[in-house]
Order: sequence, then C-alpha cells, then structure tokens
Amino acid sequence: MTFRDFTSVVDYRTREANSGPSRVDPSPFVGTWVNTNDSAPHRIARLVMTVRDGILMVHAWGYCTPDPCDWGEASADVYADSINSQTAMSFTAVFDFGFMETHLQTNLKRGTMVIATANKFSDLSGRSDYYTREFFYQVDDDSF
Amino acid sequence: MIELPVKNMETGEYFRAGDRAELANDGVDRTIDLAPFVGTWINTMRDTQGFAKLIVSNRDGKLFVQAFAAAAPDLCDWGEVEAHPFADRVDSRKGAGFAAHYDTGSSEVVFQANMNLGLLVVLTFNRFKDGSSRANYICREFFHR
Repeated sequence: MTFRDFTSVVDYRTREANSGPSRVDPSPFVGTWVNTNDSAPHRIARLVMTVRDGILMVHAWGYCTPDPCDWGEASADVYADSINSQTAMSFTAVFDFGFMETHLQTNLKRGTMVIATANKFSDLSGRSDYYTREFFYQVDDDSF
Repeated sequence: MIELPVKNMETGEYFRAGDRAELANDGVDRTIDLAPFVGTWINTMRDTQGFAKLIVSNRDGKLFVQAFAAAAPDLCDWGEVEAHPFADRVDSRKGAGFAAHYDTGSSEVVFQANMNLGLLVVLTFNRFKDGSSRANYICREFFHR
C-alpha cells in the first residue's frame, strides 16, 4: 500500500492548510466538567482541564467511595473538526495505572463533552477490557 | 446511590468503583464476542469524503479491520490492521466496541468504533506527522451493514 500525503479526499492539502504552523486552540475544553450520570459505577466523576505551556492538561477523578479516586494528570492531544480549522472539538489522553490503561477519546457536541473510554487490563485479573461512553457538562468552578 | 467498598489505595487495583477485580473473579471465560462487529459496513452518507466502507472480520479469534477511504475513481484501500475489541463492562463478554490504528507515514489515524442501535459509529482521530500545517482533526461517521 502506497500513500501520498493524503489518504482520503478530506485530507487533501488546501492553500490555507499549507501555510504556517498548525495550531488548534484548546480553550473550549478549559474548565471543570462533571458527569451527567451519577449512578454508573464505571464513570469518571469529573475532569479539570487546564492549559500549561500551550498543552491541554487533563486531571480526572474516577467514581469511588467515600472519596473520588484521583487519577492524576495527563497531557492531551487536541483535534479540530477539519484540516483548516483552529477550534478544538476533541482531545485524546492516556492514563496508565500499571494494571490498566485507560484511553480517553472525546468530542464536544452542543455544549456537552462526550467521552469514550477504552480500558485495557494487563493484570490477568480476568476482567474484560471494556468500553464506556459518558456525557459531561461544564460547571463554573472546581468545587465537588 | 450504590454503596461500594472503599478503594484499597495500596493495591491500586481499581480507579473506578465499577472496575473492582472481584466483579470478574469467578473463573468464567470472558473472551469478548466478536460477532456483533463482523461484516461489511457501508457509510450511511453516500457522498462521504471520509471512509466509505469497512470490512471487519474474525480470524482465529482475532478482529481485523480493512478500511476504504473515499477517492475517485475507485475507493482507496488502506489495507488490513488488527483491531482491539472491548466489552461493555469488566464482567461482560458482549462486544461493545473496538479500536484500530493506522500509520500511513505522513499521518496516524485511530479508529474508535462502537455499536449503537444496529449502526457502527466510528470516530477517527487523524494526526499529521509531516509538518504540512494541516490541523489534526476528528471525524464521526455512521455505518450500516
């Protein structure tokens, strides 16, 4: 299989996409996001997103009792909706817990952030690798 | 709200209550059922400029994806890659989605697919590596059998 520099019609370089560095603005994600579903045990409870040195950082908490499980922080890759756009509408990030890797793959839709997680276990515990799709809304501050 | 045991911070065996190892600690075979994914999937948008067709197959218990992108006069065959299937829970073997990865040299494309009401919903995360200044982008498409 031989590829040129595009692999489908939408990737074809336009004049606009051929000049200057690509820079996708991550600001639509910045802030605190809370899960819309407070009963699912597999859920991510909340996310706090910041930009540091131009890089989008994701801090996540999983649902645990009595307190949320702090996943720590991971850097994110940001995606636009086309090759000519500079507005972020998606990001991906990976949290490596040692016994499990969780890949976050997100998109924004009408003010809601949709997060798919792909979860792979490496600890031979018999747990199935599994997939979730969750919805988040933005809140004004990081109180929880 | 469901009452759940407190997470053991020392073992670190889970970071979400639904991931607890005891949920799947019963010796049951949890090989994920690949049947829901297998077949030829056609983009619901006939004039798509993204992916027009996916062929998903099961060979020796492994899942493979062959993607065909829109191009003229013929579709562009991306070749076949192995995909990673996912269930819907840690204690389930029901196929809920899969992920696959293509590296074309100038770009990397990650497929993240899930089943919904008989449709295969595919998000592609497209990342360019060639310094062409094209923005990395995502695309969401729907496929029927």
